[in-house]
Amino acid sequence: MRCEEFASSLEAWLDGELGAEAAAAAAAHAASCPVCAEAVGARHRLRDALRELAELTPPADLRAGILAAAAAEAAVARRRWRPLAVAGLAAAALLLAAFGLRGLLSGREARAQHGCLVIAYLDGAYEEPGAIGVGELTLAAGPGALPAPRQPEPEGGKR
Amino acid sequence: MHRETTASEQQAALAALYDRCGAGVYRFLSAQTGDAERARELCQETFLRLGRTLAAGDAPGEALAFRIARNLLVSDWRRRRTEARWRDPAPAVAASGASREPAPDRASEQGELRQALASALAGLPEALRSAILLTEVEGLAYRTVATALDIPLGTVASRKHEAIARLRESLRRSGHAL
Repeated sequence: MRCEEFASSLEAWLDGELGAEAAAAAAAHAASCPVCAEAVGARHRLRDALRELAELTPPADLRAGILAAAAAEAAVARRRWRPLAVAGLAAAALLLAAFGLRGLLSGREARAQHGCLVIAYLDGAYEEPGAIGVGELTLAAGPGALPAPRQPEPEGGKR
Repeated sequence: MHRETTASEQQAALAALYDRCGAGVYRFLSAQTGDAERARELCQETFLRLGRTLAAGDAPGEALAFRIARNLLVSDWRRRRTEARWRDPAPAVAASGASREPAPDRASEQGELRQALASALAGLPEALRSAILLTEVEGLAYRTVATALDIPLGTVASRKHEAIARLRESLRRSGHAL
């Protein structure tokens, strides 16, 4: 390795950013070249001076203060969200109840309407069961569950 | 029950993150501001933001910690519109109570060098100062610094190179050779 090449890779070498092969070559050059070895020494002195200048230990209570503040902030956030969550759940429950009741009512209404039609069918008002969906009831209740519609009485047959 | 466990885990994760890089973030902020109280406030705000990141389900690391710290620092500077307090680093060092005491016969020489280096560092543009503090003082990998400063990997090396050249030139003008 030449001195120019060593100088250009000195920072990366000192920072451990060179690959193994290049780092070994830089170390070998520094060991064999007094001028480059002095450059390495100067860089170490500057690094030591910078680290000493910036050498500070955080205040002892900083960690505890941060964790306490973070816990308090999280608790506030939870308290802030709790009423909204409760309100959201209540709204969802109301919606479900409203739609469920409506479905229940509309189902009951349909069944009542259907019942009237079936009675009308049994009274002979409708001849075709399919026209009023009576066939579905037949299927649900089993074959032969519905009797044949009542035949109209002959005029004057009954007094 | 689940909520308490989650909050507890987040608290533990934040504590672990502070143990990993809290001192470095505080050192970085102290060196940049030269003011122990500002460094403390900014450090606390940095970790509160990291706590919010944890609460959002992310897993922040060292690079994000320095990135938040640096962004807060820049915002703080913009608010104050001055870096004057950095020019006298003594209060930060004295307030921490953690500086090494040099031997009496070397105190004057080291004090002069220290002051010259502090002035030279203060004279650097913030981008160069951040690069040299994170690589040289904190010893972070270039990749981590690139993420923290939101710059390309190659720019980390070029900024550091430029910062060292300027520091040396400044020290040389003040009669110190390093």
